[in-house]
Amino acid sequence: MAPQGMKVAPVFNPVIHSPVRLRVCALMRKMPELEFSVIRDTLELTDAHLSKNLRVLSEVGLVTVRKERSPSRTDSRRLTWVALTDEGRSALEAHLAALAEIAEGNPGSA
Amino acid sequence: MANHSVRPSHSESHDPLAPADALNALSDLDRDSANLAERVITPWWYHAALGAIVALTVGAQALPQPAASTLVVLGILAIPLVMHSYSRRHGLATTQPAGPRSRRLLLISVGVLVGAFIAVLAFKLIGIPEVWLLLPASVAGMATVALGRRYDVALRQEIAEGWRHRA
Repeated sequence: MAPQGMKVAPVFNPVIHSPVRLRVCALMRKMPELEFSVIRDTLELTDAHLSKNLRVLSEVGLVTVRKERSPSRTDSRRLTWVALTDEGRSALEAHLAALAEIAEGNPGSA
Repeated sequence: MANHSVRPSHSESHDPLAPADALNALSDLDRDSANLAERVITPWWYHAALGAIVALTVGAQALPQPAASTLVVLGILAIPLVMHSYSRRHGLATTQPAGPRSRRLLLISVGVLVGAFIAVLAFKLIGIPEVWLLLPASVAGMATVALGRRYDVALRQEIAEGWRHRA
């Protein structure tokens, strides 16, 4: 991630730009990790929809997904923690900069 | 790894992204950030537990060895345990600052803790009666609770600021 105050070069990212994936990535932008159910509930997504998009983000290395045993569940279900990778953070910042430019009427980044 | 750094998705359909669409997408992110910030509320016991552990760890220096060292080790182990327990229960980790205000408060908290340990060591070197070690212990414990609560507020505000502000 670029240091505070440093301008990020706008780069439109087609993988991130899918509406759900953009919202998922942006949600994790200021958090080290978020649990699957928190992302699902905050964005009001279904499990399947979120899983599918996380798989895409994970396959291209923008997020990491790790499983952890749940303390409150007696069955075999586990907590699923999601985090942006360094590459994911950089790509997200660049994509947000590109969107901001487009929103301001400068389509040069798209 | 796929190359995903340059080509815009809408280039596949040759439709440029309209400014209004970009604005809508960014507005959605602001709303999501505000929703997430509402979830970042630590339970009442969280900072109380951290404050008690810090106070006990610092105050333990008034005890003879090996009890003092044992309590310090237990305290150092207990702090991440409490943080981890909260993260697992609520599905989010709050240990990473989300901006300059929360970063500053985190650094101040660490500074207070280090200062309390230095004060305890200084008291022992000078030979001040051990009961006085409770003073830095109490200050460290209370500061942990007070700064922790302020940290929560700053973290919530910085998360709610949305996409315009970088962490």
